[in-house]
Amino acid sequence: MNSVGEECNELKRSYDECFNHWFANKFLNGDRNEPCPDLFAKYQSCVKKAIKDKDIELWELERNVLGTEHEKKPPK
Amino acid sequence: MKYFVVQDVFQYTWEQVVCGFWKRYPNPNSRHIMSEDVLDRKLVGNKLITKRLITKKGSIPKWGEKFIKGCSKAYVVEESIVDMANSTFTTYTRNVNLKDISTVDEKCVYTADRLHTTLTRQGWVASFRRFSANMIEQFTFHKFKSSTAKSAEGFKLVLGKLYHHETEHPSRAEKLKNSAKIAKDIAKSKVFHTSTCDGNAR
Repeated sequence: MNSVGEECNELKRSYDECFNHWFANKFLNGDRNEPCPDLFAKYQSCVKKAIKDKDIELWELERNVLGTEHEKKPPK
Repeated sequence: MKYFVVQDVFQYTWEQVVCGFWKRYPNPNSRHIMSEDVLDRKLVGNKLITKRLITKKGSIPKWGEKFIKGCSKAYVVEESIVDMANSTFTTYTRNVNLKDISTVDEKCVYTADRLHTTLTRQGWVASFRRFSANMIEQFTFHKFKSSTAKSAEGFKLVLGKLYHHETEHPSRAEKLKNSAKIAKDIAKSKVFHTSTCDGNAR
């Protein structure tokens, strides 16, 4: 799957491959080391630049909803 | 606001489902997904917490075009927590643009159930548009419900490919049965109307 920034596609592919290997073989087996830190940093720096060019409210990306009082609740 | 809750069963272990989740795009039912990116990812104890940005092709009905000027992309943020201590995987998804038209929130909880995985999916659709909120909510709600069913089917196709589980490929009979179930679920779904503070919704 592509990145939001075309120029980040290759970095994303490398990171995804590394992450998927880490997730299946390490994380699920109890390894708690950060996954693929170098690849992630490079990919992140590319994505953050790409997002700036899009019509997206950055505060919306930064705020957290899951696990907070901002989650929608089932009606009573 | 409209709300629904549905359950689904994946004939795969919880570990297979969470591994497959990160590989579910592309699949034959995800042609509207244009991109997905990790915005943030961290380990907190036994939890992996991820935030992703997903871009979807917009699909606006003819009558809706007059409300929306020139925006055909929907940006969606998906937050997720893989909780190894409790064998649960929770995702929360919300749109971050087009919110002046409608907001769509979805929460999915995947729980381990012996050799299977149970998914509980909740959805909320709301629109606060003056005069047209009800029409927009109805349209968005039904579209959202049918797209979640298609998305689950697409995810199962990916899992089938990853784990060679042929039975997850729906036969024609199963597809018909599933379509009937989806239609029944929509008819039975809990639809709640709540008033808004500013009174614009109705």
